[in-house]
Amino acid sequence: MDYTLKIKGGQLELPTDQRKHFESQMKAAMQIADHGRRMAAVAAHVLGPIRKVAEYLEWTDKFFANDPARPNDVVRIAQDTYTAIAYMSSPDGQILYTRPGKSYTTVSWRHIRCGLEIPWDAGDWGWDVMGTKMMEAAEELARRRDEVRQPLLDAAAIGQAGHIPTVATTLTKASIDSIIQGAARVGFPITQVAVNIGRLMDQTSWALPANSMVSGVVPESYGRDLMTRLYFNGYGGLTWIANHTIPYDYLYLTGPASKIGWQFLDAVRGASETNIDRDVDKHNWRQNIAAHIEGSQWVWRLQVV
Amino acid sequence: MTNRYFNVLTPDQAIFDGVNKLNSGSDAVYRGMLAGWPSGGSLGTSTGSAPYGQFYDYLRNEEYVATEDLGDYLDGKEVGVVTGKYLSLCGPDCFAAGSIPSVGAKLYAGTAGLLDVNQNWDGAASIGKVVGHYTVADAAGAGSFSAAQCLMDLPVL
Repeated sequence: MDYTLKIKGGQLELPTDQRKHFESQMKAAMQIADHGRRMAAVAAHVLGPIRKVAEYLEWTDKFFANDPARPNDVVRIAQDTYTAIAYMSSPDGQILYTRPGKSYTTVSWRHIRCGLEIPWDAGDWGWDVMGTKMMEAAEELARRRDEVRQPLLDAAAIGQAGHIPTVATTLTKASIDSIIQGAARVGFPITQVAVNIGRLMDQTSWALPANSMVSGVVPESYGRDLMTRLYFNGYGGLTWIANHTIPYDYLYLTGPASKIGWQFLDAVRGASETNIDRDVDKHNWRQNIAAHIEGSQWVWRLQVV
Repeated sequence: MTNRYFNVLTPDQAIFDGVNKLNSGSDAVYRGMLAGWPSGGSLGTSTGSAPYGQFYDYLRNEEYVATEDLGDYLDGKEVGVVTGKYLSLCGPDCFAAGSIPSVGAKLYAGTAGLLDVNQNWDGAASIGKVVGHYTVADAAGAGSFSAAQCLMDLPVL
């Protein structure tokens, strides 16, 4: 049976029918395992391991619209340049026509895979070995998906003049304001920003400009948020996507995902086998992924140097 | 930090020999260290120029393993050794230098059962090659370390 593993809200999610199939497999394996040894592990009051690596949270997916295309589908992304003109003319003059051209780009796919070997006696260890390792596998798949998409965001921002500003030492209000203003000025207003949660807390040192219209009349909630959370969520009307896996020195600011580009995520397919030579169960997961950015105008990257 | 991360990536192509005994009195024997017969009929880590394989034993018969030092548990008992041609992933402390060699480096038997880029014995055969680097999330927190993907070609007979 193919398993479709997803991370949803930081949790590992398996559709009900697949979970039941998996549980029945595990149950069968448990029955084979020696009962006495398993009970000894339970009686020993084994406490599961505490994670020493922070959970990986996928973040670049927020910048791409999902499209159901799969490998072997012919994906053609139309390329267009603006051609129309209108003009002042004498009514007796000839009409001037412009015509659009035809061109497409396509995507290349990447294949991500991850394999685990679980010894048959793992059921005796007294902690949820399989669940823990599946979570790690899902996180590593997510990390690789980010590795596919993040360079596209970088390239998009770098390709646009003035879209990779820098700010010294800490994130400042002025550096964010300047991007919000610059983007709004040309009609590609940004709506979301991905920032490392630690970097976001630089907001505690933000000062509103003196003598400005808003100085002294900001909402009380602003001050309260800064006191209790060290950041003010929602600044600039943006959706602040903040977690610890986003790069500390880079902020990605973009418009809505649907205007930027697409991601093509094939289902995570899983397969398992029992290896009777080495007393292990082998599990693997694999996924095809492709992504493409068309609307570079919407993408900005702020670097804290 | 002692980082002896060691995994055999292509176990179905390797030979897992579990019938040889570990030298009694051995200690500081970890997965990934080179195994051989320095003297007598039992395996140890100081292997000289002709290593047999790499120790590969997850101590599956022990109930409450408190250290991965195989010597603590398998003193005089049968120990697992992986040998043959296989890909492995080795952390920095599997190498004599304490860091992973660059991609393309040839590997030789080191003096303390570790992998070494230096040929410690004249004419000793190469036992592997570093064919890639992988990033592994690190227990230090948000960090990570690089592990060397090695194509091993053992034993030296």
